[in-house]
Amino acid sequence: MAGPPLVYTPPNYVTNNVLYGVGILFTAVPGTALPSDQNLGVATAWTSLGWAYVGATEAGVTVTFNPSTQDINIEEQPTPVAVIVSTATLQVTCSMSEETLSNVNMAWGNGGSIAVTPAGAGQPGKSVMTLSTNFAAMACAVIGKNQSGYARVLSIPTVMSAGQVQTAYRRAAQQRLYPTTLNATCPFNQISWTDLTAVATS
Amino acid sequence: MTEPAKPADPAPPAPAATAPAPAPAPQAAQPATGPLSEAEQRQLSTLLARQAAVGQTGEPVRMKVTGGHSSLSYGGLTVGTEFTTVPASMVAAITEAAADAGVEITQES
Repeated sequence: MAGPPLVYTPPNYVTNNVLYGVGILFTAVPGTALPSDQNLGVATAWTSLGWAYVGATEAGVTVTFNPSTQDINIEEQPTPVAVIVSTATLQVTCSMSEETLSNVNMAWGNGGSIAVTPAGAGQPGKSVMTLSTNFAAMACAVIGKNQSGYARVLSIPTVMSAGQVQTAYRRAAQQRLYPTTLNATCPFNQISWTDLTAVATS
Repeated sequence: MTEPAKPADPAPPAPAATAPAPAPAPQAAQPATGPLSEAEQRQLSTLLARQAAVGQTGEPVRMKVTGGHSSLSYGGLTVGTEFTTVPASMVAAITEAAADAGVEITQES
């Protein structure tokens, strides 16, 4: 006598959870407050608090989490008995397309200073960036849109810009680009994702 | 034999008289238990970030640019000709940057 039929019922996937779209990168002095929850998706709320938008990028913003692990092995077992995180890096990278002195400075380590001289009699207005290898820490945030259409914010309280920056001056092939690598330098428990899920009830 | 018990009777009223004072303490300790709410976690994260940024260097100071320049930007912070609040952790760095750039900068005393 045959038993109950064998049933194959795979779980349903949710196409609504498949997200795409650009990320918006803001930077600020470490310790700068985030906008209120209500305003996490409002650009002017960020800029009014002192956050700076990096502007257009060549290929969007990329977030890379890269832990390296150490296996703990024993002779009696072929698989490790534990896998321990030895180091972990979190990087936010992008190639900035807007060549402003502040963007150049940020790509080049954020260690330079920009002194502005206003125009005056016999003195053209000018901005002079003085470079330095004393890289300054900053805070960064990446804002994207979640499956509800609201803001999803990755907040990293402290990052340092450290990466090779190569900019090609071409007649027509492409714009001048400033590849930027922001490395998280704060403990992981200070890094957060905030996901807005529903409007306030009143 | 029952007489020694009598002096003990007045003792209970004494704690009863002081009971109203310690009562709020246990009530205040109750919310500290259990996991943090989402709002508390967010507040804690903000406070930790602020503490990490300020470090043990002290209070922020107010600085402004003087002389022929109208502003100096360093580390994402811009100091103009009006006093601007500078985090304590950045004061030394921005002073050094000003010196390197030949910009006069003044700290509010």
